[in-house]
Amino acid sequence: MTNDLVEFATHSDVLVLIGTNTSECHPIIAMQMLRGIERGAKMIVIDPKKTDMAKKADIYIQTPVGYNIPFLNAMINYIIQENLYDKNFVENFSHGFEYVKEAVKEFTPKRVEDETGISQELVKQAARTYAKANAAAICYTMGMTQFIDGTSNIFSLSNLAILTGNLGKKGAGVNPLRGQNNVQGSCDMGALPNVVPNGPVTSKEVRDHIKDIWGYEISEKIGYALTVAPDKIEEEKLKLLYVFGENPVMSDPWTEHFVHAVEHLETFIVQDIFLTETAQKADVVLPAASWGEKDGTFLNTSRRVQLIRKAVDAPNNLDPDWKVVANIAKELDIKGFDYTCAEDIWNEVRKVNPKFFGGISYERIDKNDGISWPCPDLDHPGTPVLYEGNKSMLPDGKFKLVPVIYSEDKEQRVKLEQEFIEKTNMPKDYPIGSGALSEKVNELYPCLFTTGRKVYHYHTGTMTRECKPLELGSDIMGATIEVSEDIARERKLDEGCYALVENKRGKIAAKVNINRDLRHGTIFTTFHYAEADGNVLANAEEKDPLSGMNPLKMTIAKIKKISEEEFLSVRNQTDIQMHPSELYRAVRRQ
Amino acid sequence: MSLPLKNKYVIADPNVCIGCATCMAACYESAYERGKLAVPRLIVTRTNSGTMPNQCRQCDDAPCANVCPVGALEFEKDCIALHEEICIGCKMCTVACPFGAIRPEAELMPSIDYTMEPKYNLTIQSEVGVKSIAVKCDLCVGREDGPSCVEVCPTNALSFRDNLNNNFIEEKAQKTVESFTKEKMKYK
Repeated sequence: MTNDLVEFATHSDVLVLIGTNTSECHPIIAMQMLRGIERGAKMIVIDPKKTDMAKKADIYIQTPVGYNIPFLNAMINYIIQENLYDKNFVENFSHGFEYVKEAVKEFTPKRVEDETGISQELVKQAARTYAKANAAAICYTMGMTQFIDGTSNIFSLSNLAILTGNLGKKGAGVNPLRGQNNVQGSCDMGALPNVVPNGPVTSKEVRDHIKDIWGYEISEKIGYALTVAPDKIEEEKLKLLYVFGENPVMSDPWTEHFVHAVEHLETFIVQDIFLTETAQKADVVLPAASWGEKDGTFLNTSRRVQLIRKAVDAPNNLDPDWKVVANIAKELDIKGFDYTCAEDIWNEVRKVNPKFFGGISYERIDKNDGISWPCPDLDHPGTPVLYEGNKSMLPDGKFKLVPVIYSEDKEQRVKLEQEFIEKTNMPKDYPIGSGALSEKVNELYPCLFTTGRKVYHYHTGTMTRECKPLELGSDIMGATIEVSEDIARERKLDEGCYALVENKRGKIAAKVNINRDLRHGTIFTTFHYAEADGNVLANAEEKDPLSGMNPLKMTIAKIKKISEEEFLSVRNQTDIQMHPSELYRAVRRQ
Repeated sequence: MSLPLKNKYVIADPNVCIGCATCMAACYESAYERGKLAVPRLIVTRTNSGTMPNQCRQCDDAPCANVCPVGALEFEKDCIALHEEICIGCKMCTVACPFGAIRPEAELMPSIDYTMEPKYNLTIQSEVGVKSIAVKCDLCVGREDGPSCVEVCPTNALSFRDNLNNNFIEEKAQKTVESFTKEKMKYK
């Protein structure tokens, strides 16, 4: 996040929530937003599902799944046409206005209305409300990023923020609401294929700095993205997989393919606190200490480094994760892992990336209850608001407006981008984005299929489904398939009947819940339940060209009513796929 | 003059509720700790117009208690008490309740694999061998700190109305009249 999440309560005048079900997925952030609304902030919600936040919103726009770039471009176009953009900010602090203007010129609110039936007045109203606000924050989550044009979606959001000058001030910014307590931290620490904690591996300067500290030469080659791992395993380029606190059998798209791929591995190691669906397929399972049983730091969505202290001792004197890694390194005879405590590792992080973390000592985090990076020295107060003084982190200190074009045919994206570059004489290294749909509904698979979360479960339910008050108290529904009213009507699905959803990648069966909050033609399910995991159907073949992200939030499927016997037979198959050994089945779910 | 408000009750504010269902988890835990049937007694209900937990209003002339054939539901001095051990699972109260706040439930049995037999089968058509009984909000009777849902609610959407006077009605009436008269003045 460019800003701190408490600013939603104290400073934001307008909140734009796009592709996020904030109250269910980030209840604490939603709470801050509601405080902001009580103070008088306006809220715009854009989502295919009329979420609880949408019901509280001033403007709600129900877009089809994946229809982000034409919509955002229309908003940008209207803001430019009506001269609602911040001319001072655009002229003095950014590049590329003419490219964006060119890219959006064919996208009008009228076009949005023609293509989706969303009233153009509503689009205009949203654009006006956002552009005229003193401080407007954009918040987004996986409903923006998990598409084959996810990166371009975010380009569009940053374009909106730059055009309206909503950067570098309190209560504004572009804010990805992170889904885990430390996902920002793991990215900052280099748990990505292309970076180390102080920058990209392709930069010589970065590698030299690392060599000074670690004493090793590191490779300049960018590693494999997670999304290509199953393919690389099948090609036998990847022989060992070490999974840490993740449950990719359920969270990765196209389960059948993934399960098939991991069988090819020479060694499959899983380290987790419970015997997850993934751990059940592993060769070696290492037990792990849970979050309350170890010391360390978490780096939250606001980039704030926070301390966590052990509350109880781990059972059987289990080592914390860092120690497990250090022990493995020792076995492999790799030097440099002689840490005595988590603080030692943090102090090394401060040395590796002094620009961001240099001034964040344990003592200071403790005293200040967390410090946001960048914080280069011990006198620096931390940076809850990025880009203050309208200065970006790029070498020239200016922001880049990135043109985002749209292609009706996903195969034509590169060609259209090339044409656009030629037409506008853009410099070769200037970024450009493009949007397209990964799959379009057809006669065989006439419904849009998307996934999401329920407030009472967390991701694949590794922890929350083991927690009885949540599993038996909060979650009284169990796994359901939510369908929009028209789908239920056309297929004569009743509330609570059994249904089978399938596409070319797999099938899931569960009870039907007719959800009037869904946009027409949409099926929604969660990925919390091994017995009906939405990711079984998710698209793993296609990827975002820039980030490698799969379109987890969008695929196509068909649905039909089934009898109880058929339901039980599909459930049984799913159960065997997820929990191959009967012994494990009994361990995992009572 | 109006009657003093006798019965205590828990009520939610849909404008503040974010539907996080923490109340349901707390309710389960409280029931479990107090040795009651371990199921949530309030249900976060999601509708097209908004979301809030729905639970027993502890009605003065409670239809559920009036209709109960065995006296499992009893008029107590400040609430409607439910004696689980007497309940025969006849579901009359469920039919009578105008709020949908009392329902038959049964606890999961360890011998059944619920991944194959979804747990929500256990409501009205209960499984063979499981006796269903009525459950409703019992205001966490026996719990020192009062209703646990109110205690855990992160947005203070839930409140426990136990100050047994009706001052707040008069306050509200005055506020309404004030705002009405103010509006009315504008169009004189």
